Amino acid sequence: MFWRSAAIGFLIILLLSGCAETRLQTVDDATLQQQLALLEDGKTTKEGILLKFGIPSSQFEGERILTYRLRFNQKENRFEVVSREVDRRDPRFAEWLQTEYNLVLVFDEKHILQKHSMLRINPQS
Amino acid sequence: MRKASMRSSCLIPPLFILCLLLIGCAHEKLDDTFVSEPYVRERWLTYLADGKTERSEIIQRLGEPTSSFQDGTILGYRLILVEGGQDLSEKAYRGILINLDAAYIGGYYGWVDNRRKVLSEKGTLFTVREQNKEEKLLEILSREAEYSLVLVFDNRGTLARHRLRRIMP
Repeated sequence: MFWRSAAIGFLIILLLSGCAETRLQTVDDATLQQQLALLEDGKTTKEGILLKFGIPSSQFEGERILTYRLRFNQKENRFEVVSREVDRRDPRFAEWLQTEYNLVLVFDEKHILQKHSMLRINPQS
Repeated sequence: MRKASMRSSCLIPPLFILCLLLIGCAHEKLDDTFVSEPYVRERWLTYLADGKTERSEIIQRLGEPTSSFQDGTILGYRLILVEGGQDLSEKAYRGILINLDAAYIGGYYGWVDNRRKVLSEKGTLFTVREQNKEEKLLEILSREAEYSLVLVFDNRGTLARHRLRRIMP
């Protein structure tokens, strides 16, 4: 009787482990560099960045500084812009809130990227 | 005979738990067809053609843009896919959250798939702007999908390049 129950218990654990999903993780430096390869100070245009990332999360000094709140989607292997309005009760955003980055882009008067930085603002423990 | 019956009845609780756990793990596949970028483009944005569409036509159809860059040569639209018609009530919004919980936590995507289908027929692409953000907060929070549309115009005001990008799952 004991062995039968133990076998069923083992089966349950085995099946549950099969259901486990991989959660979002922080991005390693190599991936980060690869993802941001298109950003070249002195070369990349504002137009190119807007077409790639879409509407920025915020802008300052007119449109000289643009910022994007991003999270890395491992499944798609790309950074995605985090929606601005998020209800923390909404299960669709459970993963989105785990790891977040802030891409800050500064442009010159000709709309060419002058400098940029990527900050991790919500690291996953 | 009685012993055998007791044995089999002992097996019922673990088997019942096993069934429950397996049901809990069930993952139907979420159907992205009706919220995919190609579908949305075909359903609502067919008039966007590089080298042809005028800025005035786009503004006429989508309204005032969410953002504007480089003296209006680049326009940005933040578009959300929502039910058209009346404003959403708090009660209706809570109902949506409950259904989303059942889908994204429980793994039953039937309600979401059906919502997407209904939106594909009767829904609307709504432009979010600073001016309507507060007034339409519940609609924004309950959106089924969100897109960023960036349009680049030439010096004659004709669409030169554009990109529609889905930014919310």
